[in-house]
Amino acid sequence: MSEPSAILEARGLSKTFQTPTRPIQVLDEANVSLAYGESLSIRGESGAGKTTLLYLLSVLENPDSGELFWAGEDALKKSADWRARKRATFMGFVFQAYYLMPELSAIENVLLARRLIDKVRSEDRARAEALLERVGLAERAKQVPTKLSGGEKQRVAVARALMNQPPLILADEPTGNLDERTGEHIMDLLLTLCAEENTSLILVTHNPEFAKRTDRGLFLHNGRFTSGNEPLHP
Amino acid sequence: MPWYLYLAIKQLFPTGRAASFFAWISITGVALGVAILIVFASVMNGLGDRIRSKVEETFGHAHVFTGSIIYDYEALLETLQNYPGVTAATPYTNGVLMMQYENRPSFPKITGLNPWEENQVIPLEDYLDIGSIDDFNDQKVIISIGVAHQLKASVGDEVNLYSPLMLQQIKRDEIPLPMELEVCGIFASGFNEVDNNTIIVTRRTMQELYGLGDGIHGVMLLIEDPDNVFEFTRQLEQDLGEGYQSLSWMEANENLLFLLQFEKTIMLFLLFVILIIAGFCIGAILIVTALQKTREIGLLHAMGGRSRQLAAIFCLDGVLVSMMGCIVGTLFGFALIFSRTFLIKLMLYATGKGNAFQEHYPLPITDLPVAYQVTDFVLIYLFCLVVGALAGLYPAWRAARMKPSDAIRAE
Repeated sequence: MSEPSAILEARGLSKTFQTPTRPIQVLDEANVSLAYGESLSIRGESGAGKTTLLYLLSVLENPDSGELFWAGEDALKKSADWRARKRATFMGFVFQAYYLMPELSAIENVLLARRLIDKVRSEDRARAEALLERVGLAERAKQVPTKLSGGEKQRVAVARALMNQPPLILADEPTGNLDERTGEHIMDLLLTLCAEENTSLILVTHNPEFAKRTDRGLFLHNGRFTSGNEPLHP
Repeated sequence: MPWYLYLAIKQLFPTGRAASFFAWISITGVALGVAILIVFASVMNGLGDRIRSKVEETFGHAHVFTGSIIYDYEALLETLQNYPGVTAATPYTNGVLMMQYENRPSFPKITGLNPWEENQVIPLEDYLDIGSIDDFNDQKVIISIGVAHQLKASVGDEVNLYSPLMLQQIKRDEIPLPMELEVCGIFASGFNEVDNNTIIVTRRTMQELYGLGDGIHGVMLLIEDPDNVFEFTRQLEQDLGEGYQSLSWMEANENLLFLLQFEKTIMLFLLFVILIIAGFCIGAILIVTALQKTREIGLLHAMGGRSRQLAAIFCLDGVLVSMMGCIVGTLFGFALIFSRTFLIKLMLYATGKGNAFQEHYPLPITDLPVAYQVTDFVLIYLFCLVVGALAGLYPAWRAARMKPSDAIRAE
């Protein structure tokens, strides 16, 4: 079987949330296609449906309609267990609020990604240490999250997302809680590491400067993409 | 180690700290419950065993009797002394009478024994608090400590004994003369029922008081295997033939033994409520923890965790807390047991009731008995683990049904 051309492909994804007063359509027939190693930014106003799109693409939220393929496999037709197992190796997440486990040290948080799929071996520990060194936190590996700054926490989260060498990273406003300078540093790290590891990236951001640094960009407005899947940079 | 077990352990014992607040509170709660149960069960077992052993000592393992007076008992005694499994056989005579010292009457039970004979079932000499068994003869009586208190009589005092046989003399218009005996000893066996109201005379004196001639009421036995005394007595009855009955100490004291066991069971049942309260404490804290960790639960979903694995974290937390509580509680319980004498003395000193306690309590305070039964420990640990697992069920169910996207978005 030949390798699919897209690491992720979504066709006609729609989602409507029921509120006590009326239904709100958050996404309307969204199409997303991402090639191996490609980076894609998604921008839009608050409430435009950017985060919901990420959750639909990772099936943390089920779409009302549409099709979704993960490396050519129809994710929506598979079982929840299959998706959970696949998610662990296929994609890494970076969230705005870091979401580190407070009871684990930095390196234990990074290794947690590995623990979810298999037991931790010495080579896994070496990779976690290398990743923490790569994000500049080798000295802080044994610190718990409460002892880390916001920027340091997000760097740990980036290392955790890359731990299992997933082919896809989903980043939901990873610089949203950080000051400008730290945010730039995190973006540098994320883009550089994704490029180094040939990892595809979907980046949800408000920042047009960060969006410009991805291969392509989409803009969401009222649940619909307003620009085509054109490359931002040749 | 599965990742959910790893996270359950880390939730209790996070990196950088000895234990989480949740762990401290929950484990302490369970440990206190387990410690109290262990101390209570062990002391109850000890007291029960002490009472049972005293009953055994003062009754013998079994009695053989016919329901009437046994004359020419030597043949029966020889048969019983040579019967397989019998280690001692002593003839006895039992009854009640009236006893008087100065103007104070008492109505004790009386037993006729010759303690100088071989193969004694009752270790009378060991029970003597005052006096000597060497002074005991047909003109002497040994009284229990309860009777001594009641009559205010002591060694060397002369007491009068009125037997039921004297009623017949009164009916014949004869004036009965009491038997005058000298107190030569005061005994305390440690078994209240005996110590409160018993006197001992020689067999010949008892035969005279009851008009038995050379007869006796029965033979008391000690056997090699007291645990199987019931089977032993059934077999003995068959072998001795018609007319003979055999009664084990368990059957003779059935009510007392039932009460001892019943009291322990009821008290244990009530004390198990402590563990249920500890379970609610674990459950409440786990629910709060699950709420606090909503976003982490969402993250674990995103990282590939399945609902049942997420649920397992909270169930395992409940079980782990129970296990730790059992270990700490057992250690604490044994610490309390080993320092029980000091603790009792401290309590009596603090309340200023030491003397009153010592007066009324039948055992010396330095000798509060304890005994351990494996079944008690198994029951306590099992119950504790079940309570812990149940306490984790609701938070586990909440975590499992949490929608990943909602969990991540949670404030």
